[in-house]
Amino acid sequence: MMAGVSRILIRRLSSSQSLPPSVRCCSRNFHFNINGKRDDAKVSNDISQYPVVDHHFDAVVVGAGGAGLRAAFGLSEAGFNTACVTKLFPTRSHTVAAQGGINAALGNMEADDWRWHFYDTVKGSDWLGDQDAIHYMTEQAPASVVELENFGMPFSRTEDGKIYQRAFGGQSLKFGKGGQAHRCCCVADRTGHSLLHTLYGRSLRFDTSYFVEYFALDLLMEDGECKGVIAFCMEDGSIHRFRSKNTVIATGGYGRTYFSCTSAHTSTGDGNAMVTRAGLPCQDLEFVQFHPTGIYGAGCLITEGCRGEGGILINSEGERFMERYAPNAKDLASRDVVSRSMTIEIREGRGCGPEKDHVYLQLHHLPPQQLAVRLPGISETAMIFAGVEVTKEPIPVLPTVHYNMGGVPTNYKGQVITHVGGEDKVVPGLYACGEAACASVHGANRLGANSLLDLVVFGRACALTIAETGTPGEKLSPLKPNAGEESVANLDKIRFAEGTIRTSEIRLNMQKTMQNHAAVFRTGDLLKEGCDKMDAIYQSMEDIKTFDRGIVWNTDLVESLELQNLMLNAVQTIHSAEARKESRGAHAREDYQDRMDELDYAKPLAGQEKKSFDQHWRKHTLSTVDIKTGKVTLGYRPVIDRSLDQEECSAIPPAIRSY
Amino acid sequence: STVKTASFSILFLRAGQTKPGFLPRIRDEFRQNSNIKKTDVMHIEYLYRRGQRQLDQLKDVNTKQLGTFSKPQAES
Repeated sequence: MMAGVSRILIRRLSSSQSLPPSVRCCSRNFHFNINGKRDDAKVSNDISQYPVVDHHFDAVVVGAGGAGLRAAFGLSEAGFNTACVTKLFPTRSHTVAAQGGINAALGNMEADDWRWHFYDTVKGSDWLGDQDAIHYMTEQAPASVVELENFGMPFSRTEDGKIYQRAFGGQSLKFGKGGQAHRCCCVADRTGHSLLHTLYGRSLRFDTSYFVEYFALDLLMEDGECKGVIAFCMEDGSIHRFRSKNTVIATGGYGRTYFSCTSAHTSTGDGNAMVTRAGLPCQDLEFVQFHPTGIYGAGCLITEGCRGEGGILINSEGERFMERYAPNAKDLASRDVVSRSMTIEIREGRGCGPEKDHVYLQLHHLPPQQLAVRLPGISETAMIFAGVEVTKEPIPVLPTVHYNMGGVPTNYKGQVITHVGGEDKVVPGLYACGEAACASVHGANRLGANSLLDLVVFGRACALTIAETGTPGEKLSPLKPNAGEESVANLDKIRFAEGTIRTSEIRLNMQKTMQNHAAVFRTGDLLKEGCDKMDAIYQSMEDIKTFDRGIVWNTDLVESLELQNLMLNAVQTIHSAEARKESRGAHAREDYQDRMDELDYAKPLAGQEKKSFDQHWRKHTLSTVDIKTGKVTLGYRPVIDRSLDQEECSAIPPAIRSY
Repeated sequence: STVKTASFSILFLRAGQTKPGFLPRIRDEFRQNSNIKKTDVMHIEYLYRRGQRQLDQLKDVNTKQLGTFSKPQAES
């Protein structure tokens, strides 16, 4: 009788063999199949096949820089089974290039209070920063730095063995009234390098699974919830789907949209692009920080710490011109103020060099011993990239693209949000931290040394939030079997692209357009022209030509995918900039030179009527892109003006921003 | 080296047994690379190193299944 039953079962199974249930057809002609090759395949060579490995984790972190590593081992520490997917080896992430330091109100050099740091950051952001996130960051700062020290980070020390803190741009005491603050904890001028190596070393203690040299393609979204990431292994060309309930984006910025930037070639805004393709908005992308001191020509970074140690900027007349633009802070004013001042000096004919197109950073008036101990890295950089001996000659510098204040919008806990019906709404399963995120702690302009702080504080915040809202080992919700198919179709399309324009050419066009049309000073006509040019360049991506048809270590393919990501960032940046008709922080418009808030804070507030939301500009931009047409749609979201606890730390009402 | 390849393939087959979709691919990969000359040491060693990494990943408890996205090029 048992034999009879089994014969029926076998027959039932064999009749269903004709259409295996795991085959799902799709409109892009890609078929997903579990049981190896399709049986009706005539010749295997005719089929473009991509093996896709499925992994299940409790949490996936995309990016292994400062923020990514901190989130990954924070999650592993909390017991979550964590994967860290990164296109670069962790110690090669761009965090390693950070020089200046990390701000924290430890009070080692003089009496200090985190509320003064809070005030400086709010003012630095030109009142576009969300004060609850800033409160969170500045309050956590001392604990975060102490935690880093306990991890073994080799901070520079004072005579009595405490962490050495140097002066940095925009930092003051007593809410701006007590002079320059010394709050930036540093490791000579190689803080990012030490930070990243310390975090990497620490992360090895935990059992995070690292997927190194895996290029994340897209988020796996279903019903508005993020259920994981799909990535491409560069080593063997296989596709990997990382399914998890919690995905953290820590992919860094997108400096490479500009021709001249201090960023690595790998800063291509992959996270922002993944979020855009998922139909979610990006926030405040028009705010691109131009660091005052990038080496003229090479674009390499000379840290603000030079000015913190006493370096000064001089024009062709040998004048310390910052005294005119920022009488109190002088060379240590906020970065956007300094960049604008330098650009004005050059424009008015007081630039240095044969073409009068840069200014000088003078360090030779400082004792050589101090330069050797506190600034060894830039001494070397200046010699290699500018041929300058810093103890004898000044360094030629120019404002260079350095940081992106904008990114994936999150709340102060690190959860990604959208804005629906006038309310912030959390996207379940998705988190972001670091430069890729926009919490927003930096608002319209970032203060120096706040970024490294942002990384560790919000990296940890994401891990804590995930630990709070979930449990390790939770069962995953079902996902449709062919999830991620569009990403593979796109990869295949790019791999076999046979247009007429090569990747490097399209990239150069984009970079030159952005550099010329969305620079330090922006005007309506130039921006509009830039928008039209960028739209045309976006369309030209249809005509892209790639040369390498292989699947193993195909850098042509990876660079083209990165270019797709850069393109999405660039169009959102320039369209958001064109739409914002005011000057705020790093976004300076020559045709709209004033800040347009809901009240005119330059005049007495009594008797003024508040402007309505669509009449003023103290709001966050939310941009989305229609991937097929490249059309950018803009929306807006109010700034959060309440701190986390009004009694502990009262919010700062807007005021005129001068240094 | 054929003995080494055989034992290496057995490790893969054992690791992939319980996880759907891996066995056909493992067989294909070994079959495809079986015609490499014995003297082509660099190529063999590269594939072996890569294979070790892939085996570790296959054995990992978080790796669940292998599928394929395929597109008949004739249809495009």
